[in-house]
Amino acid sequence: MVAQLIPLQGLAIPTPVLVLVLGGVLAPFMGLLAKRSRFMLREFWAIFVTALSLYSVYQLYLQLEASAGHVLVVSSWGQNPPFSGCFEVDMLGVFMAGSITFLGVLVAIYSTSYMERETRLTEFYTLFLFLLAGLVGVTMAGDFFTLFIFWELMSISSYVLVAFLKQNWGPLEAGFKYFVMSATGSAFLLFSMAFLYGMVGSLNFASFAVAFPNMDITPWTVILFAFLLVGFGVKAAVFPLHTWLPDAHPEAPSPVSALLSGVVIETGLYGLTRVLFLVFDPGFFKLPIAVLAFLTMTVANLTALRQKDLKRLLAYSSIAQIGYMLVGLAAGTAYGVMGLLLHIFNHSLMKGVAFLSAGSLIHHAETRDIDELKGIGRTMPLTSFTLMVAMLGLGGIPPLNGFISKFILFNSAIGTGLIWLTVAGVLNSTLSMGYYLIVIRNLLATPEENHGVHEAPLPMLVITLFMVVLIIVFGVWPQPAIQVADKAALGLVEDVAEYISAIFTP
Amino acid sequence: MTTQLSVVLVFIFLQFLIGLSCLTVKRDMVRLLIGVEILFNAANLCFIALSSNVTGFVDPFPQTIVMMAIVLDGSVIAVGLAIVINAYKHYGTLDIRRLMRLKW
Amino acid sequence: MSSRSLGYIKIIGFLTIFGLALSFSWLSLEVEFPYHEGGPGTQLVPTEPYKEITPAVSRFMWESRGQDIALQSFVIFASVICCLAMLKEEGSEQ
Repeated sequence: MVAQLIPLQGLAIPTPVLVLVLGGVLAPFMGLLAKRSRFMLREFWAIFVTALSLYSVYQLYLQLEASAGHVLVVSSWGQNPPFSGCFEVDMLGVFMAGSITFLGVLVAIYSTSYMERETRLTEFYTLFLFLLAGLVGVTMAGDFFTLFIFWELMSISSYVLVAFLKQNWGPLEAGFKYFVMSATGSAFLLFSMAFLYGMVGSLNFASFAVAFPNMDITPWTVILFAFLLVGFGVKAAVFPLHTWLPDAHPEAPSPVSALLSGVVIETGLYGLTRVLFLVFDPGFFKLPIAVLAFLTMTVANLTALRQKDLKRLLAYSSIAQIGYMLVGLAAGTAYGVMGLLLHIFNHSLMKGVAFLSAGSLIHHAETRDIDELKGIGRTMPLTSFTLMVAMLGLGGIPPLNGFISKFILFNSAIGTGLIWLTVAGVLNSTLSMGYYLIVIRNLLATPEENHGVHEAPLPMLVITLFMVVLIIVFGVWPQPAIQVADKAALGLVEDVAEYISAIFTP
Repeated sequence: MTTQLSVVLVFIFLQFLIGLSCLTVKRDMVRLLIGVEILFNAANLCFIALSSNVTGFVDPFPQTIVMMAIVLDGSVIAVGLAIVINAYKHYGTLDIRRLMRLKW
Repeated sequence: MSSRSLGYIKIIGFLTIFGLALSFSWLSLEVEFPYHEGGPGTQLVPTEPYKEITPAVSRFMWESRGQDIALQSFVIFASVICCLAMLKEEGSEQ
């Protein structure tokens, strides 16, 4: 059904996307005003816009719950869906958009005090809002080319945000390497769009779901699968294409690192999940994705053991977590996809806390080396506590929320006969606790000199403590998140008929 | 059966492979950007080849996609060039083999 | 990395690319591309009145892709802000 989400004449774009895009367009004006007045106008505008978008995602969720088929199609100017760009909002899109905007609000509040010594802050907050707009647009797109437009919006914002502190060499090299690999991935994505158009006749996701079950598997579908895997896999950091991530995540400013690890790579994984489930049937991609999951997990965990830089270790840990999520994708059932979505939400919280509190430690100590950060637990007790809880959660210790989503992921792999993958996953989880415990031991050691307690500034401290409370709460009582993730996974895997009928029978 | 589309696809794949080998072999930053541009061009050509498949008719859908894709690629390359200009301003050389300092 | 192993890697690289080119060419010449097997495409525009192609294509573009063109303007705006962020000098603001 076609819904008008904003009561403006002819203009219907999902409200979160509109709010974030308009916020990004108006942010330079706020920056000009902020130069005249002493007030921190740019930061408050960013926090206000992200909070408004979180509220509108919640409203969209309520509207979806109330409507019959749980799918809303939004397209403006009276365009007809199979050949025009449209937004198709279903539970999966709302779940991902909720994760993205939630992390966005928290990171916006954190970066008010982290970035206060930097220059070019107007451009930072503008690009921050455009990054969030691109991410929410990707998750709500119903047409492949609309997804590509928002994909490019997200990509160009993230290239410049990675290379933001351009006075040192590290961010520039990391930003350029990330740029070349990610632009190549976009070209592969455009190629796969050409093949899909040639086979199906339109670029709408619902037409893929209608057309592909009737077509046989030719060598061209295998080539299409390979190009899609490369196109989305560069952004999602699967095994051979992950080499940009260990350079880009440490060199970015810490709030941007938290966003990148927390939501940007998961949006690449969302794109892969959406297209693979609509185009191919799960038996086709079970084995290749299982092999990629195994390689991603193992290579990332083994390389992380050798790291001496705190943020680089966290970056390799992100790649390993993407490997765990690919296990859920390889299972191919709604239970596996539910584990994937739940782990996306939990990982965004845990990795967000890890990068933000690591950023607080680095902001105070001016070094990223793990050996030099020895004993900082005595100087900054609360921040070290948050980093410890985040790392225990990433390793999968029971009362925290990482345990539940990993349990669901590995359980779903057993259900479809990939027992070797479950064994490998559990061994990898144990291996990852190895390098987390090295960091925790260094945090708790006694320092050489006693500097006294010198905590992080108030916004950074409050945000990390709040996220740690959420980690513990969702670990003990995960039911709300599991229910929403379950509805989202069912909407993707089982109820494809709802998705198709929303476009083809208005 | 060799149709006209098959022959054009051979050349499109060839251009795609040229773009990939340009990315792996060249060491100057601007040449890497040109390699990315060659890849985007090959993808656009694939759309155009599909647009003129039926003889006597023209399919308007891929042509509109190409018009929008060219704009998007252009803005991506512009951002890349801004990063390259910064690198040259700070370090004077554009050779990526001499400037690779982040290891392992 | 010694120059001899670099030479070997170059030869293996050239052979890989040559093999990929041959296999892609064989694939596209032997196996026919499944053109529009999944569904009918859009309304095709005839090439006969040659001057009529451009207005028809642009009418199609505005009718069915107008929303994407409007959203693309935000991408262009974002890339302008990106270039500003990368090319501004440090310390020019307060």
